[in-house]
Amino acid sequence: MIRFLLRRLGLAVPTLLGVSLVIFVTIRIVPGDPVASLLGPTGSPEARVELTHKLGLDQPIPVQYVTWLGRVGQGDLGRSIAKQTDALPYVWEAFRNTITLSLFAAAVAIVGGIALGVIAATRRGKVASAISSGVSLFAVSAPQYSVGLILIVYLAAGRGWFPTGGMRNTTGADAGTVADLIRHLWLPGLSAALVPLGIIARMVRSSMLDALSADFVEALRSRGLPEWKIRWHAFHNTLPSVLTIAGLQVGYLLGGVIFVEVVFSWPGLGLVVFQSISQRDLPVIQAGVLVSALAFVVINLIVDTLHGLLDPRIRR
Amino acid sequence: MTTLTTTSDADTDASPDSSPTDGDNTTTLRLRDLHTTFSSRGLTVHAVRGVDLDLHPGEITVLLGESGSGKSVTAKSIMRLYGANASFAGTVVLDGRGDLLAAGPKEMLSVRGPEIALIPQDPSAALDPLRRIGAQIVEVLRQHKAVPSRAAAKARALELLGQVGIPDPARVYRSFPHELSGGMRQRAVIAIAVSCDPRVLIADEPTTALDVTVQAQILALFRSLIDRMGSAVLLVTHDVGVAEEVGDRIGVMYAGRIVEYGPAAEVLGDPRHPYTRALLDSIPTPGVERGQLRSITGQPPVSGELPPGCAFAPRCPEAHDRCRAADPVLVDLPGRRLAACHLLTDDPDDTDTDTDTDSTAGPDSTAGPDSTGGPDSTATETSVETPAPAGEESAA
Repeated sequence: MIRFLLRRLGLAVPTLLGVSLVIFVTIRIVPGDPVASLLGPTGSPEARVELTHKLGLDQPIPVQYVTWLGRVGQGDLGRSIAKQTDALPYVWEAFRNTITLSLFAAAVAIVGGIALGVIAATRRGKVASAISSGVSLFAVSAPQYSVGLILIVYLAAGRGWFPTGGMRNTTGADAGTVADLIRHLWLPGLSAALVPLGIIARMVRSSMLDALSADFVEALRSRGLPEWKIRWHAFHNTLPSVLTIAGLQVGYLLGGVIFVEVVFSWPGLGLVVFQSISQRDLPVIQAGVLVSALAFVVINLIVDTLHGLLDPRIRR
Repeated sequence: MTTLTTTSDADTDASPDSSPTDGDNTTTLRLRDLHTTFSSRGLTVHAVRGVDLDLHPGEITVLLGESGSGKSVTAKSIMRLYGANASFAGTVVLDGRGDLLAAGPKEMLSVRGPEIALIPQDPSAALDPLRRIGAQIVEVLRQHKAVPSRAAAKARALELLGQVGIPDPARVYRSFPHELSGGMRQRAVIAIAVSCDPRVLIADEPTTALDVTVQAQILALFRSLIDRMGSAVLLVTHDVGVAEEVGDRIGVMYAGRIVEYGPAAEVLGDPRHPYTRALLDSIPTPGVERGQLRSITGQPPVSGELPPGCAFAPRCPEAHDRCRAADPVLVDLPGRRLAACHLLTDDPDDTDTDTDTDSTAGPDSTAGPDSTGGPDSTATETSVETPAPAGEESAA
């Protein structure tokens, strides 16, 4: 188990290096000039040259990359061009809000998805099964931004049951209370949970059906075990594949649920990256994407570990 | 020893001449006129069509037949291991428990395991891949309250693993199924099956998934366990070698029915039904040089497309008009044997009329006047004492 983990950790390093390279190159390839957006249309050519040099953008891209990577290795992700603050603390603050939102959404998606999936698989041919299959299909297909807007229109705006947005940071001078946080969590949390919930429910349903038709289920039945114990065995056997899917979904959520964060003006990573892209704030974009890549790698590591704990066959 | 009755007197005990009284009247499990039908979306498959069978303590009864002959379905019907799409008719009487086909689901839970246990076909698929072997044995012991405590369950599980010939019970107890070889896995599965001292053991092709040397070990283990436990065993196999090695009695199944039944040595040594003969003929004999392996031409009938008359008639080399018209019933033969074949009945017009049901009596009377069919069949019947196949075998 230890060796298994060490190997996984070793694999994470080249993954992150690859991610950083792709991010760096992509950002420089896509159109948009940070210097122009900083100086505005009135900037003189001399100022342009000076700023370009100051930002290191006159160097060849490989040199820029190595310089940047060296700084990243020391924990320096550069300064935000737009905010004139260090990129890392800025991104980190946003990422904490995203973690709050993601974990809430993930909890809803995993609990709800498993419940719907198990019902759909075990109440076959009954109304409950049709309803849960329908709900999960709707969840997968409903676009987050429109669901978010619909929730705002019917549950927040005008009625005031929930805030339409305006979540405050959880730390700092203007920090809101926990009750305030929870009030703000519901609508964006549910909007973000919907797609993963549907995906998990469908995965649970199909792997539960697979497990229930496996030969060992008949063997268990022949030993006089009651049906609920047999279903427990079957459910246990669905966990490895459900875990994989759930881990991927949590990874996506942590990457910043951009649509949801924008619709609900949730001060998370997705909103920050979205704003930085429109401002051509390269260091923040890089830092944001790198943090979400790191989150993805960490989630995968956790999933692999749990996978090994759940399924003895892949432990080695 | 009551063994098997003709379908016509399903409700009564065996007819006197088929059951010479040995004084051994113990029958653990008694099947009478068992029918199993599967239906889904308007499609009906009549997989078992009236099987009578008696299982006796300490005896291994083999159900032998091709795939699709209904042998596995017969075995699993006893435990009612089918979902809502299966329907049963007839009776399955477990000594002291009454008719299992009429028992409620709760009662079946207490029958499965302590009364009737199953050894499934594929040992690797019969174990939950995510649980340790020990936990899977303990689970069954605890379920049926076979042990007073968790510690006692563990002790009993280790003892069981030792009894099935596992050299290192403590290690296997902690192992996951994938860490064991096929033979060890099957031993573990057998340990689970015998854990609650079942009175009836049903083994569904228990050695098919194993290689030959392991097969022999498992069969030997099986025999010794049964000798010690005194369980009544129903062993389902398509492998004549297995039937020969461990079978006390053999029932040969074809198209959902038993077509021949009797003591193993006699059925295999002197088969009376053409299907049994064909089945034995299609087996290569080691050491005997032969050109081409003989096979039974054609396919077993698909249920629902059964031919009128004898189900084997379309593939039977000895079939005649009567076979295609009337379905033969099991008749008693000397030596406590039974077979369902028109060729064995001396005078077709006589024997059928008193025992047959209406459905077979109808076509029978039309076949009767056909005088060429009658004498012809009796002529073959006299030569049925197997010189023909035996001669062919040595010649080829």
